[in-house]
Amino acid sequence: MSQANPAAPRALLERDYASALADFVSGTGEEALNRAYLIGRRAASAGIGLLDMATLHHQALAELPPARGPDGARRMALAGQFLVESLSPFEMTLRAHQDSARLLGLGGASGAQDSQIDRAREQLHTILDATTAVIYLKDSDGRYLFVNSQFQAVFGVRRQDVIGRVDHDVLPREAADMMSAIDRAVMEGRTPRELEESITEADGEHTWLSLKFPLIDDLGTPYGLCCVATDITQRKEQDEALRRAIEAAVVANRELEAFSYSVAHDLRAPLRSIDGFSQVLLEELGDRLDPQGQKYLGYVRESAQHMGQLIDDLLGLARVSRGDLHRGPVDLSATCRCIAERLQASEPARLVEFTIEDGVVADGDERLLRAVLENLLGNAWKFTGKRPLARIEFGARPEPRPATYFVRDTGAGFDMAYVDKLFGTFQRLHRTSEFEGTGIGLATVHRIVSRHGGRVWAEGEVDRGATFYFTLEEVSR
Amino acid sequence: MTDKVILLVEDDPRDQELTMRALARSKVEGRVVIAHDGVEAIEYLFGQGPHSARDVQDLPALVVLDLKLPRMNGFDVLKRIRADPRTHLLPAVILTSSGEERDRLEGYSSGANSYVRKPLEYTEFASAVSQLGLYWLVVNQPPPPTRAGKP
Repeated sequence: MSQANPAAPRALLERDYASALADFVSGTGEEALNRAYLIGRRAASAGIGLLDMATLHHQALAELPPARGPDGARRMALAGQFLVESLSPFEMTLRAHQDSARLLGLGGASGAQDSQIDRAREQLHTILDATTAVIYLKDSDGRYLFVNSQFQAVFGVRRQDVIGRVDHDVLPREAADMMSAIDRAVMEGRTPRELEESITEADGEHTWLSLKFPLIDDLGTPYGLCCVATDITQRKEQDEALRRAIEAAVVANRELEAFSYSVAHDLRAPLRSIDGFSQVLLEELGDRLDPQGQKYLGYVRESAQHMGQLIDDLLGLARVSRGDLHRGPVDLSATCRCIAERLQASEPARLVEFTIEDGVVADGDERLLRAVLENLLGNAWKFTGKRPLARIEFGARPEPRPATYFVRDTGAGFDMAYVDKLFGTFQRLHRTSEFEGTGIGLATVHRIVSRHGGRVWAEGEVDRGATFYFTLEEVSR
Repeated sequence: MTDKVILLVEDDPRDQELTMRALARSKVEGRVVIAHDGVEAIEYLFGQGPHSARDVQDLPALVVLDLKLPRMNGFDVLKRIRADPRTHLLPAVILTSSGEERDRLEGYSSGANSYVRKPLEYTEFASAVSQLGLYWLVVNQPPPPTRAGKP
């Protein structure tokens, strides 16, 4: 209680005390007595001690004009009353001290007869010792009032060697300097503080997350400090590992992007040569090749073109996997109509009846959802190619949430036994001679729907058509 | 000042040949000059190095640029062309394997007049190249000649 007495409040207090005392002894009554109490409270919160208060009283008394006889005796009695009143806040502070000390079993002297307090103390101790956190209490002079078991374990000290001592008696100098400086700052600042502290223990460096808060009594006077510290070494390591993993993933992603990019450029160039010079051969030397030779050159060209398509589709798959989702309302009906028109224009002779439900709007990335519908409607168009008359349908079932969207066709269908293979990369259920394709379209659909937090599945029957369903996560707005 | 010149900036000899062949088969009257990388293209256009004797006023009718080139890539060639008052209006088109969005964006941002992705299938490739030649050398009206220092 003797530290941190700024001179200014002290001087102010002296003046207040003297004037209030003078008022009271001259008979202004109750009001002046209240002032005595308030001055006491202020003194207690400013950290002014009991002895200081007694000195203050003595000085103020000495400054009063002299009085003798019955007047003098009456004045002494009033002055005594004033002193008692000004000290009463200290008494309450003291009681708060004693209560908390009794609860923690520090004070020793009192309380033993109160079994309720005993039980509470026991429970509190059990809890404080059971936790993996390090917990300690210090008084305002930095002396340990209490340490829990974990404190003993971490610092390798015994409780009885710590209580009543300060950091520098207990801890290595460097640690003690740091800890006492921080603790003092918390007490003086009167605000809780959270900080990370590194402590070297037997098994290496540990990181502790400490919450330190001043203990303040009902009168606003700080009388100590409590610290609860949690070992976050493991969490720190996990954070670090996670950070490194994310960094590695970012690097890998960048490399993959660079890879896709050179695939786009470099893998296509030789294919163009293979296709181009095969064609040149056919044009210029075609008469010197027999029909079989011409057919083989045709195969060379077809293969080159097929590989080109594979590369393009793979690049498309890579493209839908990267980049941010730009979510917004997407008019699926309009998108379907647009795709249907284009499909019809690509083969005007085909008779395909499109049934597209109106006003189906979903929440998602427009470019990616368009790719989903292009793939699904494109497939429907492709697998109805051998039908003289075909039907392709798009619609939605809003309930149950999330809404289910579907694309249905009356085409070649598929055997449900192979339904699991449908969405894998390069997986095909039909021979290339029946239906062209690279086996990447549905993998792309699957990737996009997953990125939208949705699900995609299919139902089909050989020669009786197929239905593809998908959902999208509904983002609440 | 007889026939029109197409400056083909292309490092792959096979693509050079296929492009030349496609141009030869089309009705484009022109002479193809080949630069094997970006630096060669700049030297040709600005009369530097082996081309120091060339009259730099005599600009090609069209520059056809690949993007991925040794030493200096197509974007940088394009930026140099656009930055110089002698060539800043010169018709330049990109002919590349890449259809990537960022390449298209950077191509047009760098001042390309057109961006064509080389089709893989030869007949499509030949058709694209001859259409390019026809359009830029026959259909299109070239910019008026600019004099050095008087843009």
